[in-house]
Amino acid sequence: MKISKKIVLLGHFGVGKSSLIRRFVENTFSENYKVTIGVHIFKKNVEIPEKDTDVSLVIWDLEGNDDINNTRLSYLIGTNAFIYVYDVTRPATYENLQAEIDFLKEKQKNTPIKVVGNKNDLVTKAFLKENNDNFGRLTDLYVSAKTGNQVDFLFSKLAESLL
Amino acid sequence: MLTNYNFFHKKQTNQILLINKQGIIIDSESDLFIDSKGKHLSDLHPFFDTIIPLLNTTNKQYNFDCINLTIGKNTRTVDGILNTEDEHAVFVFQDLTEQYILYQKVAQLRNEAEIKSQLYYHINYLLKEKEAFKDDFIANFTHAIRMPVNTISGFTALLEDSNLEQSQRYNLNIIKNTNEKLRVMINEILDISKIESGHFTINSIRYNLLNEFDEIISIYTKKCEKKGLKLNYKIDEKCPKYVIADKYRLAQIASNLIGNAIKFTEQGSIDLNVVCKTLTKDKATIQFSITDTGIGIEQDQLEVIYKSFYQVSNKIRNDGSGLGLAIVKELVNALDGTIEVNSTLGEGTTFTVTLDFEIDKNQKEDKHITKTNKTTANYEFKILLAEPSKRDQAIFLESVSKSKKFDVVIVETGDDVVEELHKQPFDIAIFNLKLPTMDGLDTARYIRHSDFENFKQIPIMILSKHPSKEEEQYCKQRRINSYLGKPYDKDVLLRKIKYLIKKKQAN
Ligand SMILES: Nc1nc2c(ncn2[C@@H]2O[C@H](COP(=O)(O)OP(=O)(O)O)[C@@H](O)[C@H]2O)c(=O)[nH]1
Ligand SMILES: [Mg+2]
Repeated sequence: MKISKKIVLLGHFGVGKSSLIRRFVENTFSENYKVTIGVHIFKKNVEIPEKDTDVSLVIWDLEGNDDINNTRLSYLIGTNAFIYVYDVTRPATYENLQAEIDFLKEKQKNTPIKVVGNKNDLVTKAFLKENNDNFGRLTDLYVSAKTGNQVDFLFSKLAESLL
Repeated sequence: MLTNYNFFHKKQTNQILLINKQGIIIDSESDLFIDSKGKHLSDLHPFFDTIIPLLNTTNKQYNFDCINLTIGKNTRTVDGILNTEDEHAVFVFQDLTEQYILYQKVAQLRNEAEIKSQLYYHINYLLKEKEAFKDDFIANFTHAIRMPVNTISGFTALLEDSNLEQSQRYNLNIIKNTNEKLRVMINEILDISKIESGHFTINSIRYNLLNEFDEIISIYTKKCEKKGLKLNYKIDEKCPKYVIADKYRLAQIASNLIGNAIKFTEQGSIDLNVVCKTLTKDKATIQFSITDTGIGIEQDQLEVIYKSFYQVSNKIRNDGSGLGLAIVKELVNALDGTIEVNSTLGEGTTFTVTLDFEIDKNQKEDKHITKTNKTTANYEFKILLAEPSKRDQAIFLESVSKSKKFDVVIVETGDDVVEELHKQPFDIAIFNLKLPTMDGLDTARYIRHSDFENFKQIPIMILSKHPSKEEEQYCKQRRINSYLGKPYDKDVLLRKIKYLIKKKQAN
């Protein structure tokens, strides 16, 4: 049977979780914001040429929360990796970054977490540098669902690392 | 509300999937998954991929709420429970789509409102970034353009001293005047960009306000007379004498407004009226009005006169960049004051500025407090050095430290020189020829042409890295008192400084 990996996206509402998935799965983007409730689940096959194989990513798009403690824990069962998304333009979405990451580490020990700052199309490199102490230190990757910047890279590198 | 509950309880019925340990559906009773019997779970929806590993457990219950299942074009939202048994598992779920749609609508409104309220932070940031870019650009640009303008002045001055025919001299004069206008314009642009970006500072010092008025009046009486105008003035006796405020900015506001009035008035008078509106123990609100009998401003133009680069459209040619009023407005704002304008076309204009002044507790005559109170009492003389190179600063300090008589204040730019001179008195100013912002010669020229009697005549020495006879001569013509090439002999430097200070004291 084909290898399948479950990836769960979390973070505050409006940070672009659904948009990142839409960019990755359908390669489209919309400016319209439609609030996700509960969870939507998508599947996409990713080729990993380096390992001469492919993997089926089952991606869970969770409802955004301003407090990670309100996450429905059953959604996390069997997760192979988390992508924690925040919005580089909204401090409220990264103010508790460390605590939110710690929460995930505690609930799902040994599950890798990628922390990504989305909407990097709206800011400059200088801005990201200035904010090193706010979110930079904890961030693995800056991405943009709008331009597609680093989105494929995020998912395919993550998939590769799970094999 | 109740209708919702009603709906909830009536409509929903349980749907059931019976699943074996391999994930095959043995039986089903479901509107959502019709004909699913015999299929594998993973063929139904990717959600079930997560369920499959759980089938290996027994006697466990897993709750899954609010799962969106898209099947074909249809998305339904369900709550489900997985019960695992010895040989089977049962997934029981309810289609609650309608309820969740209502919930979604509420969440949509709430989230949108909250995101909107958080956006100000970023909008603010973007504005600042844009401003900073603009200011940087203007500052760099004006700075870069100053050099060639100064070069033109330099060579024009050299030409002036050579033998010229009448017509050549006439043409040269045009070049000289045009270049001077350009220089004024550049300085104004730099000024406004600095003010607008908040890169200027307010330096409050104790000073005699009444003396300051006298000084302003005496300067502008002369300027008015030159143009055949009369300067009338009335200073309210209630005005406090000693205040703590930014003397330089007040002078800048006054000189811009009075200068403007003179510029637009061909005959008649300029009236300066100073009224102390309110007076408490420690604060005075003072209103300055400057009225001219000039050409006036049209009513519909009154709104826009403070805009950068605006110039009242009129037939009279006027110099400068049109930034004077914008500078005044920004300065008044920065000092938390107000400015108003009233005008009648053909009759004249009145500008009224209202500013608060902190009144100094000590209203007694100032007996050179700055000198006697100095902590550096054992120093005899104060030197202001403008030198951008740290190495050269060190060399200078080392050179003058021998004498132990000098207290040296070091700054690095021409603008800082001006600021420093407004803050405290110095016995001599020494500039490197090349300085960031205003260079040494520009700074010197600013000082010599300023209206501030307390530093207008200060001895100035220029230090040059590439000394030449021509340069020295050029400096001397610009009322620079002394010129010295680098590297210099320490004793020569000291001798020159002492000589200049002595000469100044003799005057
Ligand atoms: N400029 C920009 N906007 C984005 C980006 N990603 C998402 N958005 C917008 O942000 C809003 C919220 O996106 P969404 O994906 O629904 O966020 P979610 O609540 O985390 O799922 C939408 O209006 C998107 O159009 C991005 O990379 N750049
Ligand atoms: Mg979403």
